[in-house]
Amino acid sequence: MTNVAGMDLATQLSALLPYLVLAAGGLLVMLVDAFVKSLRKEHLSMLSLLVLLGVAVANFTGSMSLSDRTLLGGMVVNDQYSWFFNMLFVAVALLTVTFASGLYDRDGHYRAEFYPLVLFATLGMMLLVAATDLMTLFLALETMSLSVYVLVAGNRGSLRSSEAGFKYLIMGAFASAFLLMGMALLYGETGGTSYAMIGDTIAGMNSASLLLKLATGLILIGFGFKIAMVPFHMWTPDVYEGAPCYVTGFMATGVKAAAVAALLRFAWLTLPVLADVWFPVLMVLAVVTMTYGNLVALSQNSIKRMLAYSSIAHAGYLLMGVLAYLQTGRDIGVATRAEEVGVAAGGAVLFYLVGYALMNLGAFGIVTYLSKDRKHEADTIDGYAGLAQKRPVAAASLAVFLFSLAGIPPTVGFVGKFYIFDAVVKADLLPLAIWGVVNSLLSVYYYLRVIMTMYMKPAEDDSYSGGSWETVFAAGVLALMVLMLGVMPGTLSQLARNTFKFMAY
Amino acid sequence: MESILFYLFAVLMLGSAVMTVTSRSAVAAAVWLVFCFVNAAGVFALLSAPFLAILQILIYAGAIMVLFLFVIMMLQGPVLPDERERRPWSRIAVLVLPPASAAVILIAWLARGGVTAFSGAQPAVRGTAEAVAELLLNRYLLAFELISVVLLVAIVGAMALGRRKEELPWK
Repeated sequence: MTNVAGMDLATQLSALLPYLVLAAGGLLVMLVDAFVKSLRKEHLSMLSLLVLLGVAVANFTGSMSLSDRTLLGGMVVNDQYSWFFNMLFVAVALLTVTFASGLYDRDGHYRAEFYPLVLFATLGMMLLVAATDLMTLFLALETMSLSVYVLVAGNRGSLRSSEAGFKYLIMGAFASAFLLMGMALLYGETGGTSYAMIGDTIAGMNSASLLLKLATGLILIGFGFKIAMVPFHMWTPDVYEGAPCYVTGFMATGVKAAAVAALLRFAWLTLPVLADVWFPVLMVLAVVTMTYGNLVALSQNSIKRMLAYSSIAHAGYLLMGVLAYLQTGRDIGVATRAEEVGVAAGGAVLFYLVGYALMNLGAFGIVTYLSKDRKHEADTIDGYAGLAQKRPVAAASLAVFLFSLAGIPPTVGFVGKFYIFDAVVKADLLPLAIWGVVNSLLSVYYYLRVIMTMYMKPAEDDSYSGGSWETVFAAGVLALMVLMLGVMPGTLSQLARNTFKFMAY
Repeated sequence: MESILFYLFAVLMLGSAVMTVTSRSAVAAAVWLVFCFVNAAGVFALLSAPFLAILQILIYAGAIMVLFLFVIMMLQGPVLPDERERRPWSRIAVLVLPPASAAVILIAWLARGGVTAFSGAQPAVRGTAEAVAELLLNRYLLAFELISVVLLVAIVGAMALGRRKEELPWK
């Protein structure tokens, strides 16, 4: 057997088992669809769910020794950080497949490409977080993005969906070009593509060179596009609105979490020298991002557009956590207790990403549940009138998700925001924390508007009513989890903090 | 001598790239792109990677661009009418973008004091076919496999989106 950088290949491949299972599973789903004639449409979704469960098992058993293991000559790493996010992405994909198959069942027809593309997109997300080489980082990002471009345009026959897919593809290609240019400059400056080499070279510098600043800026644009950071957010409302609602949920949670996680690993890499460069830029962008998202969300009548702007605002909150972490690398007072503040900030971002995935995916799950078919989605807020009488469970779940998005206790959204603001205050950035709280208050208005419509207004003839039981069941379980983590956040928050600590310190 | 050749290739490459995006006729744009690829092959050759240079010419300048030209000629894309008077935006873009990219190169050049200082970009091995194969199946094994997933996704996506409406299984 060939040797790749010391360790024998069998050991390394067994550590890569989750990724291999997922890639093989995607191929299997495609082959089964092509060759098994007597297939009923539920079979593919069942098979995809089984593949994802297999990945979860492989991830769980494979990484029981949570030591930092660099694999394949530094291309990917198998650490607790990647383990944590693998679990999150598998959960997101499981829920997406469940929601989608519920809608397909009602629709009477299914799309064969959907399931393999979701699996491949999940593979891209997992590798994006595990990547410790610019080469892997870029390829993982492209695997994820290409799959999502197609998923967004998946609603054939709908002009909006095609427009969304096209827009996302063109803008995404542009963002990829920026990212690639930044990577090329970084390679030219440090002489290597592996994180270890880049980190060593940067740590040996006294101050950041002009080229290095330029490289980081371009890479930041690439990531900023994926997490919908202002001013790279232009695509967000149109794409979120045009994509089928289960795909929107997948994008808003999975893609965003993957990009933030990769950004955090990258920030860690460049922290000592570049913190001063990143900080002022990200500071302005974080403030603008959350303010813009919240202000524009106030006037939306489409629930998907509203959630799109809310997703921009949440990118701002997440950037606040990243800022608190960057603050520890700057040569100021915080540096003396860098580890304490850094772990609080990184742990808060990780916790928030999990919480945000639960509540946002739940909200999109309810939108999927209420949609009649793929051409008639439950999109206008007025259509939610009287939902509390017609579908009490769905209405209650949606209310829980929206309360959580607004950050009202006792939900995971409140706890997540609390951790982020706490870390920001610890990092001596009190004004930023206050601005974050003001923004959260602002956001309460547009979330409550939907809840008011559901509970206070009488039902009309064209109000939305429900669909498949498995979607509302999954959403109900999510709502319970949102509440449970809001009351008992301890275990998850400890896990998030430890995960970040192992990665960064 | 090497740096003279490098700048020659670089300037020609950038110039033909600008011509590619500004040409009014799709065929002319494609031919400019071929020229751009040939110059990129020259840069590869200067970086002592002859195998990459040959591949660049065979695959990109040769096979892919011929397909491109075939498709363009089959679709008989019209020569775009001159809209420059009505579209000030494109004129501004043409005026702003080349200087901007030139500025990026200038900054890179000033920051490092010339091309030769890009010591990191010097390959550790000679870029022969053997060395490339060694890298692909050893160090870049994962990237190599991942590219096949990217291509698979692209094929599936193109099939899924390109199918005619009457061929859709659910119409």
